[in-house]
Amino acid sequence: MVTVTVKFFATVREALGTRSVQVDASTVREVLDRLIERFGKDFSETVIDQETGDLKRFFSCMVNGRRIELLDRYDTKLKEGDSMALFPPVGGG
Amino acid sequence: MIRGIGGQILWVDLTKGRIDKKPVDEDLVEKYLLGAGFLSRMLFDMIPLGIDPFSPKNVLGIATGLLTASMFPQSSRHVVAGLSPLTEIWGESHAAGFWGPELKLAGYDAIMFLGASKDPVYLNIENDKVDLLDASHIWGADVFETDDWLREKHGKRTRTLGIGQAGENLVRFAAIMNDRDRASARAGLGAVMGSKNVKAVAVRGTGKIEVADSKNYLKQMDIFFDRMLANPFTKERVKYGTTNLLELMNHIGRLPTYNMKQGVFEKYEKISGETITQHYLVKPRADWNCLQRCGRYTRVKTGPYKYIGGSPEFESQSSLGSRCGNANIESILYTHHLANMYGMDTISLGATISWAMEAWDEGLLTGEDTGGIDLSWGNHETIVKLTEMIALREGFGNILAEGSERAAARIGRGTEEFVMTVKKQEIAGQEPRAQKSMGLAAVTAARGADHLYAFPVLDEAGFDVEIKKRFGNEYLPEIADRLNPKFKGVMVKECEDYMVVIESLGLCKYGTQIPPEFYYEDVAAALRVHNGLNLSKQDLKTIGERIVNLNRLFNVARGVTRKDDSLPDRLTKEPSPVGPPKGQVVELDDMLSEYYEHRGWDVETGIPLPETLKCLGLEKDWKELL
Repeated sequence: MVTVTVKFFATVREALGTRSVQVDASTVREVLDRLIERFGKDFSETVIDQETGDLKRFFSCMVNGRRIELLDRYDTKLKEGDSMALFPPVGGG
Repeated sequence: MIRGIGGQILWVDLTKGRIDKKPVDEDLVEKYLLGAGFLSRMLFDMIPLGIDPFSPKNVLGIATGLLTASMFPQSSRHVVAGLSPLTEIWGESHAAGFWGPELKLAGYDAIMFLGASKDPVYLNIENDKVDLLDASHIWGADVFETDDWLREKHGKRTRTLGIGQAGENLVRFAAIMNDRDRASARAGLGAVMGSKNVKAVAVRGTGKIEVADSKNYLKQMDIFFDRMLANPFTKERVKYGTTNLLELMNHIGRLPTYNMKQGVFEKYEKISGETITQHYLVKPRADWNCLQRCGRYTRVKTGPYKYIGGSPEFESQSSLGSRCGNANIESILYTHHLANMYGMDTISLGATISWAMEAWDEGLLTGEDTGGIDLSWGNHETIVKLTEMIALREGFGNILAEGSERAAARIGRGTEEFVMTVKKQEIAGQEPRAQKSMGLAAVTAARGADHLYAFPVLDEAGFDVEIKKRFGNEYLPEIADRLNPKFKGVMVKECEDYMVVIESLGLCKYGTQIPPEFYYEDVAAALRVHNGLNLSKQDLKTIGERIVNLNRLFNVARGVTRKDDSLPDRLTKEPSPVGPPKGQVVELDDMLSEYYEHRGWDVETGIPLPETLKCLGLEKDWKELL
């Protein structure tokens, strides 16, 4: 178990009412579980697809700026001091 | 007979003061559609080689797309094109709003401006009645004053398109504005309009657009509406527009900062979408049939930067903000407002000022060059002052009005090293060391540095499902990895082909590319019910490829080869210093070779191969150039 910082952006930040939190966890999945425990429906209804238990379509979770889809997805192992980010659907130019 | 269009082209010979109306050539539409494809074909044939972009021999075309003014979500757009005074190659730019639909409702699909008027004029269109009228009394007026005057004279429901002082003064990155604060900004075509002495085009159209299959039209459009509204992007776009891109781009290290020295801005929160939304947002705005509503109005209530009007989007936010090291949000909002008022491209404006700021920071520019203006990073008073001086071509602004590459060539002393351009156009707000596809797209785009010609965003935010739909599994996972140069050639090629089709239909890239909700089969369905055109997905792909190849031939004929498809050394040789892309450079050569191979272009020269042109029916065009 390590301590990581999770930053929230845009509508995720609005729903949770905070910019970032520190979480003790070993994997991305554990971080999401801790956030559900901590924020309840505010988190799960905003971010989590109730059918799959994964992130909703087009929501992005990054570890140190890398999308988890390009790492080990929800099994991505975390290191002490890692920075995670949760973005709602956003992109373009 | 093609339905869903105005049906006529206006040919305006400014030298002779003559206006002709000619029917749309339907054979041409089947090969090039309307909008960007139509203008690509027309201007390739009409603009002579070896001319100055400000010569009367340049042609300025303005066209709507086949689906402009339809009920397809986000179908408000028109395109302007000509020989660019900034790049001296293919120039093309697009805008949303209401002007394009109004032109179609007046019965016209395009306007072709030939020659040049001796005195300032504007074109006034009231359905069948089309006149070239004296504009001498509004020459020198800004975009808003011009709009006010024209609507006072011709009626409040008149829609206007025109230039401000920047276009009149031939600023090489002047925009053509419409509906007050919508901009066809890139490639400097506002200066071409200025060189022709055309101040504006006022349009009032009260006609109807007859659709091909009225029985199925509403049913089909209803499906598209539901899909667009249900897409998870829509809710976010309405809330933040594109302004919250800034937070994402900073997070992934793709936010141009200090003239693209890096992709992370330490003060990003001061200029973020959240800051704008919380403190300055008046309301979101929608253009014709727009469900994404990323446009917005903002207001600064007090102080030196007090204003109310159109809001900057991500590109202006980054170019006038982080790119110049500027964390003063009110100055960014106000400078964007000034750029709209004078009619200038905010990307080239911010990028040119940031080039000067880096040259100043390096001690290569001094107060002697600038007339005593301090160009320290983040000096927002300087950014505001220079914006006015550039538009009016005053003092140091007269040099910057030429764009950063020409300004550096004139000043010399090593300032050339800090120019962030491709083919003389400033690179937009995508630091490509953090997204390799954007580096490739910037060099292959027909109008010089440009993120929108391909808009290769499929590797940006988790579109693996859409990538599979378009490409199958062959290129995953590498194609979806921003930092991996592998398979970016095939992605940029596919995206370019699709995007030029979208620009030929008058649709927005928000909905067709990000989010990638609608694809070829959807626009084919729309073309059936709206226009009565039976074009297959493959037909549309071939048309896209044909347009891209014709744009390339336009440029090849003006000397462009592989050597010009290059990025500044900073981006290919200097590793990114901070953030997630730390240590990264753009591996351009490999990506470019892969792109040429997929395109069927000579890998050594970047020139389309004869067999490629033959397949697209363009072999005659190439032979004529030889």
